[in-house]
Amino acid sequence: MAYRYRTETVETGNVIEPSWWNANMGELASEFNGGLDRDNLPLAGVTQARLAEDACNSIVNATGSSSSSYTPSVETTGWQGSTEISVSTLEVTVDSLLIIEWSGNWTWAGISTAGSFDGSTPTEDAVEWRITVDGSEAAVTGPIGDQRWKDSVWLCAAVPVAPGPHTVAIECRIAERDFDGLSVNDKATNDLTLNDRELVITQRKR
Amino acid sequence: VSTLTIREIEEGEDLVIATVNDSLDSWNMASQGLGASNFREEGIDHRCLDDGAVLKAADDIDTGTAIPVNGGAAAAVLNDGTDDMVIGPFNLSVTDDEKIVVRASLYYAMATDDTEFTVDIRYGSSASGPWTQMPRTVRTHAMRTGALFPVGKGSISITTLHAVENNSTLYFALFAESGPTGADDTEVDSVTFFAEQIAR
Repeated sequence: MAYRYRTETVETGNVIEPSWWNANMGELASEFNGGLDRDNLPLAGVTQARLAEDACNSIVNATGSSSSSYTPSVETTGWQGSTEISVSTLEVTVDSLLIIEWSGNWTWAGISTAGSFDGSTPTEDAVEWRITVDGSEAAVTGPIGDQRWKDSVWLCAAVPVAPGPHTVAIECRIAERDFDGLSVNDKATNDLTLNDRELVITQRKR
Repeated sequence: VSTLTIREIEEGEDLVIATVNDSLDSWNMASQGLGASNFREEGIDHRCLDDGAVLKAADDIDTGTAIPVNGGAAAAVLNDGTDDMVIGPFNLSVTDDEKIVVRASLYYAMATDDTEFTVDIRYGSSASGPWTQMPRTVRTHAMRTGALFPVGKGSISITTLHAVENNSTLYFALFAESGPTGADDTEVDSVTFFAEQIAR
């Protein structure tokens, strides 16, 4: 309830009855102590300066957003993550939606040129990228081959999270794959160097 | 957080000054420190918020297709060997210390005599520059000699974060370059640019 009215009206000549005083004051106090709402505030009365910093949205500066070159290992065909790629741990205090965007640019040191990909040498090195939140995959690319020796990708995900610590990581998987891209054959031959990349996390609280 | 405490009076007691003043003091203290617990759960909605209190993006969004970077009416062809502004400039007037998120995407079709295509986002203090490259926004696509597909077609998307200071006006634009040299025949299309200020 936004509006409270005097429950008792005192008029000239009345002897003040204590219960009237108490009732009127109590009505106001009950409204003030937790009952205020939009009707007690003027239209557009809450300006930017009145809102606490990051009251509705927080934008996280992510560890690993960098222009420095980084070369992930090609000695594994499994997923690998590191702070050099992009990892960010954030402490969430209210139920939120994490809107995660990552984009990066990379260069292959070589190219799978043997044969003409006509079936005689049906393999190429390829990289996959993914976003994980607390270890769970939230978004993933397919294998991206080395035919385009300088390439980039943009990934996004939206993940609801509960209060507590959460880790957002970008991981890659580099391997030699069948030309159809579906299965891993072997370790990759060519190194991949990650160049400019940026992880931007928007924590939407309301 | 303010809690209002009213001293009750009872029938038959003398109404003393302290009884009234205690309640007045409580009113005074409460009125100076309203907090979250004074408001009803879900009691504040968007009507209370001033325009731009949380998100200021209404005039800072633009989209476009087939941007004529050469000044032609229809061509979206890049000048080989030099950079071209493919969309922009857009400007934001910053009224608080804020972070600006800038997003851009485009489609390109590299011509047969071109092997490399690069985009980046830049900012400046005026619509005519000078332009400074935003960190971490360079995206290059390139085809190596001997690749199965010598002509590249693809799309590039970028999201970046930029911290800005109070009372500044910044201009943003997306630049692209094809090459290395030769005929001006690499094209861009479906260009989208979006910059937003998230205030709170």
